[in-house]
Parts: sequence; C-alpha cells; structure tokens
Amino acid sequence: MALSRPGRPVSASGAPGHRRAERARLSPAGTDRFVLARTGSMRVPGVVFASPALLRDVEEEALRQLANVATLPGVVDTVFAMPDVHSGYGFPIGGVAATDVANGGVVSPGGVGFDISCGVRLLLAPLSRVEFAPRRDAVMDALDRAIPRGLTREGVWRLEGPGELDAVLRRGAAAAVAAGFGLQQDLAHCEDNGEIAGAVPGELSARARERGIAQVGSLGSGNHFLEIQFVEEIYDEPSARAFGLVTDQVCVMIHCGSRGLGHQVCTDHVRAMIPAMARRGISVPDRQLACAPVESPEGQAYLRAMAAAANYGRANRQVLTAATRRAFRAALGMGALELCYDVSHNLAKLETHVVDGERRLLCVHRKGATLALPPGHLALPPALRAFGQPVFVPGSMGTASYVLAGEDPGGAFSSTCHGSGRVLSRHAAVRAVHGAELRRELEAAGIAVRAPSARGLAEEAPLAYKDVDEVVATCVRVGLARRVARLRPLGVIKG
Amino acid sequence: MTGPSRRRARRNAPGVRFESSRPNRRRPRRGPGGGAEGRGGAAPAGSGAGHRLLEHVADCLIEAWGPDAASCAGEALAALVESFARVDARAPRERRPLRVAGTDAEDALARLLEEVIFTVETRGEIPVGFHLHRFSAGEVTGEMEVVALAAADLVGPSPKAVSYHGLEMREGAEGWRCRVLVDQ
Repeated sequence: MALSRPGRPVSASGAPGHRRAERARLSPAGTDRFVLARTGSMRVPGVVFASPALLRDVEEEALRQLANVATLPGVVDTVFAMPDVHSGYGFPIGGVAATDVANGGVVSPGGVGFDISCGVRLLLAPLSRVEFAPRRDAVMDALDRAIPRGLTREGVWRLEGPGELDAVLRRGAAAAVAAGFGLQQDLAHCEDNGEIAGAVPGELSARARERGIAQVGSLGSGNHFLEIQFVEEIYDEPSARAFGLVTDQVCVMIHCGSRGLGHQVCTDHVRAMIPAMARRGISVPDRQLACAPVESPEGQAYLRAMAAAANYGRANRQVLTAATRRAFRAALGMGALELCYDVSHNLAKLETHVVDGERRLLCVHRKGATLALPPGHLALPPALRAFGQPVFVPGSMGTASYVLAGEDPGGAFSSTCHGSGRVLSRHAAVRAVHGAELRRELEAAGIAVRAPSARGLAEEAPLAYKDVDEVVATCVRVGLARRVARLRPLGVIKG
Repeated sequence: MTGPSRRRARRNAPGVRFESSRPNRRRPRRGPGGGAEGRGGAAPAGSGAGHRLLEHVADCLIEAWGPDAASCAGEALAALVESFARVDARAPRERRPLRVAGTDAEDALARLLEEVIFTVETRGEIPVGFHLHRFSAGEVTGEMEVVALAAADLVGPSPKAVSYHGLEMREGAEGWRCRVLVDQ
C-alpha cells in the first residue's frame, strides 16, 4: 500500500566526487546525538540529532555538507543537523549554523536557501471535524478555485505596480493586511509581527522584482501545500489551550515561501559574493556556500535583500490566509479562522546567544530548520509567551503533522526540525507509487485531494519522506522542542 | 533500482538544434555516479551530443555533453525543459534572442539555464528549441524557440533556480560535458 512506508528507504544522492566517509567520523554523544569530529578546515565540530533509525537514512552528502558549513569564517560553537536533515545545495537542508558578527562572522545566502522565509502557518477554524465532514467537498472545491498554484502568473493579490511591490517588500504581512488581506490581530501571531525590519527593496534586481510582481498569494509547486487538518491528539493541554487547539478541531496548514523572487535574490547574491570572497581571501569548499562578513557591504546588501524577500514570503502566506477565509465563507457561511502562528524555516537572523559564557551577536542560519523560542521569550506574543513559540512540522502528504513548542533551554540556538525530510527523489517516488492509486488510498482514508496531476501527487507520496513521528520524537528526546498536538489531514490542496 | 541504466541517452549530432518537445515516457532507472538515478542512459562516448536527467533527492540533476561548449550547453538547456514539460510538436513557435555573460564557463551555463526559468515564469512561454551560436566564458549568444505555456503538458515541478553546488562545465579528451543541479 502506497501510504505505508517501506522498510528501508533508499537515499538518492547525486553529488559528485565524495570519497571520504564522513559517517565514520560520527561518534555517539548521548541519546540520539552524534558528534561529527573536527577535521581538516572545519573550525567547529558538528552535531547530528538522529535516532539510530533516522541516522541510517542520513546521506553521506548531507554529512559532507555539514562539515563544509563548519569551515565558514566566524562560525561558533557547533554546526547542527536536525533529525530531518538531507542534502541540499552547499548547506544541508535541516542545517543550523551561527557566526559571530563581531569576529568576522559571515552570512551565506546558501545558508538561508533559495526559498527565503519559506515557512508554515496554522489557521484555526471554529468547527469540529464532525461539523466539517458534510461540507468537506464544498470547502475543498472553494479552495481549489481560490488558491493559485503551479506555474501560475496570477497570485491572489494583483499588485497595481512597483509601489505596491515595494510595500510588500518593506512591510511583509503588514502590507497585506493594510491592503485588506486579513486582520490586524493576525500580525501579532506572526514571527517578527510578519515584518522584518531593515528590508530595502532597492537591493533587489529587476529580474527578482519581475519574478515577484505577479505571484503574491500563490502556493507554487513541489512540496508546498495547503491542508485542511484536524487536531487528533493533544499532548500538552495548557499549551494547546493557549495556542487555541482543541481535540477534533478543524485547522488549515499553509506551507509556502517567497516564490521566484526569493530564489532570484539568493542567486543574485551568491553571484555577488563569489568575487567578493576572492578579494577578501575567503575560500569555501562549495560555491553555493559563497559568503561575506555580515558587516561587509556585500553581507549588508544581502541581509537587506533577504529581509525584503522574507517580507514577500510572509505577505504571500498572509494573502493566502485571506483567500482561505473567503473560501470557507463561500462554502460554509463562516470564515472566522484565527491565525495560531506563522514561522519560517529558511532564514538568517541576527540574534544574541551565550557562547563560551559570553553574550554575543550571532548571525544564525536556519536552512530547513525552524526557530523555536523558549517559554518566556519577549519576542513572543503575550498570550503565548509562557508556553514557548509554536512550531509546525508538516508530515508528508496524507500523514500526521505536529504542533511543537520551543523548550527551555532548547538547543541548536533555539532551533528544531521543519518537516519529515525527503529520502526518495521525485522520480523514484513516481516509480514506486501510482498517483491515481495514491489518490484512491488517500480518499479511502478520508482525505480529499485537489492536485494538478496524478504524477505530482505521486512525487510527494509519503514513502518519499522520513517518518515524521520519528523525526518529532527525536526532537523531543534531545530537548529541541516539546509536543503539543498531532494533526491529521482531511484535505490536501497540492501546489 | 540497481545497476546502470541500459537505456540510450538522447543524442544529437553536432550542429543540429537541441529539442525538448518530444515525449520521453521512458521510466527512469538508477544510473552511474554517486547513487544518482539516470533518466537518459549511459555516459557519453564518441563525438555525439546528448543529455540525461539524473535523480537527486529533492531536485533535478542534469548531465550533458557535446563536441563543443555550445552543443553541450544546448543539450543541458533541452534537458532542463524536458525535466518538467512536454510540448506539442505542432505548437506555433516564436524565436527569442539568447544572450548572457558569465565569469567562467560554469557561470555562463548557470545564467543560460536561468534564462529558461525566467522565460517560463514571467513570459508564460516555454523554450523548446535552442540554437547557440557562440559559447565562451564571457559571452553566450544564440536564439531559442518558444511556445505558449498553454501548449505544454507540465510533467514535473517547474525549475526555480540553478545551483552552483557541484556545478561543472569543462572540456575533456572527448569534448565538453557539464553537470548542474536545478532546484525544483
């Protein structure tokens, strides 16, 4: 059955020319924690958080990339691989690394990734799955019409011109709310209030702007999705209550990012940094790890552009929220979905952390890793502050997703996992699963599907991913976050 | 999922245009090279040009070859389009100029592939034929034939960026070959 996982997933690394076994340098250092010893030009060691079962699936290439990240100038303490780590470009996906700004620490666009501020938000609907069941198909059809996805050039918000794009780039979700996409109170439940300071639209190339002008309010493709889910189990009642979660409640999870604009910003700044590195005598083992000191002109230019792209990503999710509410209103006569929280998993942030007993300003890169602020953190909205920051961990299509909360003290510079992590390439998944059969199985399991193609569905089949239950259990065991609730899908709108 | 693919790679003789409009319904198999899975067949031999799509855990890895840099890059362009679209060969075509400048051959290749991504995303057109007149590190010139997006059957996620991770474009004893990872 396609929904079940194979006993031994096959990893498919395509990177060339790696001969030395990084895995041989891993040594256990407590439960589900393995140290990648320093060697060669690594400035700090690495730590991989993984259960024995997850460790078997970690590709050699992902470990090599983690070792490469440890060579970045100014990197401090340890570089981390989350339990859902897999190979990416330069940085592994599921990687966390921090550099010391005052000591020549660098920022690397590859450490943020192409899809700047890609993230997840969760909306809470005031109805139970029993109340929802008879109207499920009506809601799915309304969402199918309301949520642009795939290769569309028409997002929900048709920007009137460069001025409106500038507003999106400067003010993120706040610009979307100001234009009528959502509610003022949504912003308090967004990381950074939905708006990263320091964004400068002028740092974006004409090409980045052109790619972005028509995509505000669109899902994109690949693993991006909108899912209707219900709260299947609550593990931490007080936190769940504060987050607004009740057993059997219907909710909507949205996973998407900054679309073509974010990708172009990353590409543009990798290109700008490659020659700048040569001028500064910086060398990195992989061009996609191109970097510049945070305080250099190239580093500052990237951070200003990254902030603008991140704001675009946050506006995108905010606009899709408004579209979701409209679809619910059209199908159910009610659209009062509250935003639980919105958090990114591809970003670099300037944060203060204690390193070697000193408080230092660090540039923390999270590439496929989610910020997980501990209870009491002042950046959290008052209603959530005592419980830690909500973290959303989408499972693969058709399987469970989780709501976690940041822990004290947490780890990895207050970071945790971001998903299940791929183990099969898209084509391998298509070979293993027939999309039409998968659709039937999802429908038989009570999950409605709206996908552009059967093939696209098969590409995201659950067997292409790690086991999200195991990923989350590992995060909990190593203290990166705690479980608050588990969610199950009722309907999938696939990007 | 074991052993090298026995299927033929797509090959084009030098001087012909690089097409990506024909259906390729062959099933992918595991190919040689770092555990990647090939969709085009064995590595090149002799003087022909060709390409194959290798599988990567979350992306698309392109390998292409040719007797000269222009044919090699043309094959990579065709492979990129093949990775996500099948186009009706009868669809009306228009020509668009291609011109990029890179700092070296690899950078030039990356920028060339980005032209496809940009065209698809912002113009609503899919490039299907490539005619490269010149390929040097400093300048690549040529033309591409495009069809309307509506004439394409999208068979995979559209490409979004070209990675510099593992990017290779070099001349060897048997001509040029390249390897490039594309984010989808």
